[in-house]
This record gives sequence, structure tokens and C-alpha cells, in this order.
Amino acid sequence: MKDTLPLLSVRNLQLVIPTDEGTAKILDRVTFEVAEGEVVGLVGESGCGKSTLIKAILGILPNQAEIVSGEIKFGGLDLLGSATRRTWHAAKDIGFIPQDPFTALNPVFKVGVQMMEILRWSGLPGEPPGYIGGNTRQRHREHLIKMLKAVQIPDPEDAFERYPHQFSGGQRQRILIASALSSRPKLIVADEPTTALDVTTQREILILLRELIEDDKTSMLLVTHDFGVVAQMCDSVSVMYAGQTMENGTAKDIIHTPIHPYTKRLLACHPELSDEIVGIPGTVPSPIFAPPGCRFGPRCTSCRPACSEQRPPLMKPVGGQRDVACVLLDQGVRV
Amino acid sequence: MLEFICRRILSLFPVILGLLVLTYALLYLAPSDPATILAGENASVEDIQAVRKEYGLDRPVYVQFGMYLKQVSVGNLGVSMYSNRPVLEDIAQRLPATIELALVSLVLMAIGGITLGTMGAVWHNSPIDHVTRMISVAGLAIATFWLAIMLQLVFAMVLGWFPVRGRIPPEMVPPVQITGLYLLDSILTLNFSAFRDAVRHITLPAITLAFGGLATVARFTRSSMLENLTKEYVSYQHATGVPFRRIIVPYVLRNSVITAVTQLGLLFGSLISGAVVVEMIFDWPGIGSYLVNAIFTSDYKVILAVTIVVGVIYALVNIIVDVIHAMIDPRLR
Ligand SMILES: Nc1ncnc2c1ncn2[C@@H]1O[C@H](COP(=O)(O)OP(=O)(O)OP(=O)(O)O)[C@@H](O)[C@H]1O
Ligand SMILES: [Mg+2]
Repeated sequence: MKDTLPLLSVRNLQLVIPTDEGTAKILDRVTFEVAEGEVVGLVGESGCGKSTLIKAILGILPNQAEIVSGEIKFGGLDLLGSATRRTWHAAKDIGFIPQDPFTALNPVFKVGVQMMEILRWSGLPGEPPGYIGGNTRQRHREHLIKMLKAVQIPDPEDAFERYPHQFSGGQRQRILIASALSSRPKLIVADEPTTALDVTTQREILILLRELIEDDKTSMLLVTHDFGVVAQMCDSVSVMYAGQTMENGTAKDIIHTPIHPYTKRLLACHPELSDEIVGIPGTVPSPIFAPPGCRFGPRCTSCRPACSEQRPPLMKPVGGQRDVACVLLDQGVRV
Repeated sequence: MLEFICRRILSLFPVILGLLVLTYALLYLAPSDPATILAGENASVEDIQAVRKEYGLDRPVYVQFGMYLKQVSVGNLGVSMYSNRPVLEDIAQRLPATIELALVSLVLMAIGGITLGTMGAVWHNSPIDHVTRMISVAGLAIATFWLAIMLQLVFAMVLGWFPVRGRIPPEMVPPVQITGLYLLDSILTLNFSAFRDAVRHITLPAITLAFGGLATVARFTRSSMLENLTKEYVSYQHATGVPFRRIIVPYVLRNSVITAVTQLGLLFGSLISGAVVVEMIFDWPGIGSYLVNAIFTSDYKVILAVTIVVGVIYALVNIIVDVIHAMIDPRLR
């Protein structure tokens, strides 16, 4: 999308997991980029492989998972090169915010202890990860308490010594955000960070997150299935369906002038963003029995015979600022 | 916390009372008659009657029990009908041996069981895991007395690594008594040759006593750890870059030993009853062998006293387990 080298780029990522019933083709040539300082929304229905993609980026795929082709590059570093374990360099520069603040923290350890552990293995800028000699611990502690203050946890010194169950869900998510940002990463990866929270808390957390990353010009990959969140938070969007990238573009373009039929249908599910409200008939196919060609074909009203033979490649419309994988777009440049 | 402990200790008294009533009733219903045994083999009916009168055994059972309770409430556990020594003295002399044996077994159970269980879970379905599972099954299947005899045969008689029986060589003077636990006393008095001997003597009985419980602890730790490894907080720590070995120890381990600690508390009961068998086979001078002798001679004061002591120990251990629980898991506080 931009001319400079992107911070994170995922290209043609194809990932399968063998199961008893057959091979699950979970990701099929996923492609998108996150530029420096950019917030990218990763949108798609439940079960379309968003969390699996996140795991691939973080290097925590299950052992059976197999990368068939494609690459994930982070600041020029090949994240798939180091097998499933992420390299120290990447651990330091990628912060992670999980989906469910209620289960992400270990119930029998103090919040402070758990934050210290995470910061220890990422380190503050300039520190080698894992090192806790000298006055490192003291420095980390002070830094984390400052972070807790920044995410508006009341009485942070005291909060440091408390256990997870002594905080509300919203507070726990704030703690996890503080933890993710504590090593000053270049990229934050957030897997539906607010779905477990009520609507009001959701809004507050998103506003806070937005403010915090804007201050540091941190990039963010924000997984969501909510276009409302995209409109509020994101610069760009990547739309995924059943493991396939359907459309990438700026948030404005995607929301106001979607091209791909799936994006259109997805937007139509949001009353505040669309005039006609309709769901999408049918369900996401299982990755084991995914239809050949474009996986959205069976649910698509514009489906042509060619769609089920071969998947249309991601194309850039002439002069456009986005990528679309659809036969409707017959003129364009292959990405 | 303090209030909780006090409440638990107070709740001990009704438990002990119930225990006494039950044991007393069982002894009363048992077919053996202490007076007959006391009077000796060739005693006449009159002799037996005289003995019965002397020990108050001719009174109604509830009067006997009432008298006994009155004695106990002032800390007097009575006199052994067999040796004529105060029961309390005998117990004070023999209890440390049993406690030492039980504690060493408990430590073996905890360390061995938790280590095995953890390794089985971390290297799930690997050869190490198969060994863990084999030991777990063996621990359930093997009878204590058989294991004891096998250990004696192999490690004491054939290999000669350990003595067959006893707590210390007969010719040796026991270390100066401070706690009554030879291992501890010999270290405190810097008597290292006594320490070595004490270790050699306690090894086989302690392993025998610990084996079944060790297997149980290993099984519980393993399954609890396997369950905890699938928890969200594990994948969260993993995702943030915490190395796997750090995630296991201390994080997953602390969650997993909660069930193991419960088991250890429960197992302590079977440890004391197991001690009865082990002490007989290894000639260990504790209250287990004392109790067996008392049962053979219908020495009911001794039987009742040992029941009280074991009951109190068992209840105390369970209080300790609850305290440890609250220490491990903040949600219980
Ligand atoms: N270990 C696995 N083995 C087999 N199939 C898997 C495995 N993990 C995930 N899948 C399958 O991969 C697909 C994508 O799962 P994933 O969790 O990535 O979806 P998601 O987009 O994050 O969904 P949600 O919005 O519900 O979180 C699902 O169909 C799921 O069943
Ligand atoms: Mg998900």
C-alpha cells in the first residue's frame, strides 16, 4: 500500500493442519501488510483463521501445523525461518494482547509477578531479553507501575501486589495492555481484545489503546469481526474469508466503497455502516472440506462457474489503493 | 487465617470423641476378653474374676467409658495392662520413630511424585511418560508387604546396601535426643556416623511406605498438569515470549500441585496405617508395631491411646494441608 518497506508483511501464507478426518487447509494464500505506525484491522467471520494467523506471526503454532508456502517478514526478519519458536528479536518487538482477559492471567500468581515475567523476556529497549541482574528488576518494576498508571489502574503500587481475581474484566484487559506495551514494541498484535467485555468497557478500552499507541507511533494488527471497531480504530483493513484474503485496503475505501461481494455482505450486517441490513446465508465452510477455488463461491450471489475452478488472484485495480481477489475485477495488476 | 486455624483446632475435639466412642464400641464387641489374657493361660475362673474386678472390667460398659474419658480429659492415658508402664511414656518414646518414618515417606512421596508427574506431562507420550504411567499402576497394584520383602531381599540380603531391619545398629548408642528424630538429632549434634546409619536404616522402610502414595501423587500431578497446559494463561505467556521451561516451573506447576497437596493430606492417613505393616516387617520401633502388640494382647488402653494420637495427627495434618492450600491459591483466602 505504501512505498516504504512494511513493518510486517504476510505473503501467500498457506498453512495446513492434518486431522483425523483429513487435512485442514486453514490458511490459503493469506496476504497483507502492516506499515510502520499503521493500525490494520483483520476482519472475518468466526472460524476463518484469524487466530491461527496470529499464532503463525507470534510463532506459537501447534506442533502439527505445517506451513506449505509463503512468508512472514517482520522488519526484514523472516519469522518462519526459526521454525515455530519466535526469535528473541521478534519477541522483543511484538507485543500481544489476548482475547479473553478473564483467562489469560494465571489465577495463583500476583499480577505484578506475571507482568515482570513477560517484561523480563522482552526487556526494555536496549536490554538483552531474559537478563535480570543488577538493578534490572527494580527498573522493570518502576516501569511497569508507570505503565499501570498509564492504563488508569487506580493505586498501581498496590495493584502490583494483587491477584487477577481482584480486578474486573476491564481492569484486567488494561493490565494486559500495559504488559503488551511495556517493552515498547514496534508492533502490537491484538486478537479481538474487547469481545469478552461489555459494550461500554469495550469502547473505553479501545479509546485508551488508540491513545497509547498513537503516542509511540506503534503499529497494530487488530483482529476483529466488528466493522464498528474498524471504523473507530483502523487505518487499513484486510478482509478474510475461510482462510483466504478477499480484500485489502484503507478503512475508508473498504467501508465506503467495498468491491468484493463478501466485504459488501459483511458490511451489510452492520446497521450503522449500511442502509440495508441482511445477514449472509450459509456458514463458513470447514477448512477440511473447503470448496475449491474461491471459498466464498457457494454463498456468493455473483458467483460464476470460473470461481469454483480456480481462485481469482489478488489484484490491484488500476490506479487503486487496494487488493481484491474476485472475478468481478477483471482489469488490474496482479499483486 | 489465625481464626480459621483456631476454628479447625476446636473442631478437633468432637472428632476425637467420636473416634473414641467408635473404637471403644469395637473393642467391647470384639470376642477377646482382656481379663482372660491378663490372668494368664492357666488361670482359674476365680482368678479371672479377680482380675476383672481389679481393672474395673465388671462394671457396665458406659461407666467404664465414662471413667476412661475422665482420665483422658486430664491428659492421663492410663497404664498398659501388659507392661504396667504409663501408656503416655511408651507413646512418647515410640512416636518420634513413626513420625520420622512418616515424614521421610511424605517427602519422598511429594518430591518423587510431583517430579515424575511433571515429567510425564511435559514429555507427554514419550518413554518418560510411559515409565511414569508404569510406576503409577505398579503403585496401585503392589502390596506393601510384598514390596517390603522384595526390597529386603534384593537391596539388603543380596546386594547388602542397606540393613534388613531396625532403626539404628543394635550396638550403637542413639544420638542425643533433641527432637527424637534420629536424622535431625544426629545432624544437630554433628554426629555424622549416626546420621549415615540412620539414613541407611530408614531408606528401605521409607521407600516401601512411600511407594503407593508416590504413584498416586504422580498420577494426580500428571493429569492436573496436562489439563493446566491447555489453559489460556499458558498460551498467553507463550505468545508473549516466556520460554517453555519458565512457563512450567513455577507457573503451571503451582496450579498443578494444588490437587497433589490434597492427595498428600489424604495419603497421610494411609501412611500411618501403612506404617503398621512396614514397622512390623522392618522391626521399626514406632507406634505401629506398638499397636499391633497391643491388639494381640487386647491391651485396650494402648489401643485407645494410639487411636487418639493417630486421630490428632491426622486432623492436624489436614489443617496444615488447608493452610498450604490457602498459601498456594489466593482465591481460597
Ligand atoms: N489445532 C487445530 N487442528 C485442526 N483445526 C484447527 C486447529 N486450530 C484451528 N483449527 C481450525 O481452523 C479454523 C480457524 O480457526 P481460528 O481459531 O483461527 O479462527 P478465528 O478466525 O480466530 O475464529 P474466532 O473469530 O471464532 O476466534 C477453524 O475452522 C478451526 O476449527
Ligand atoms: Mg480467534
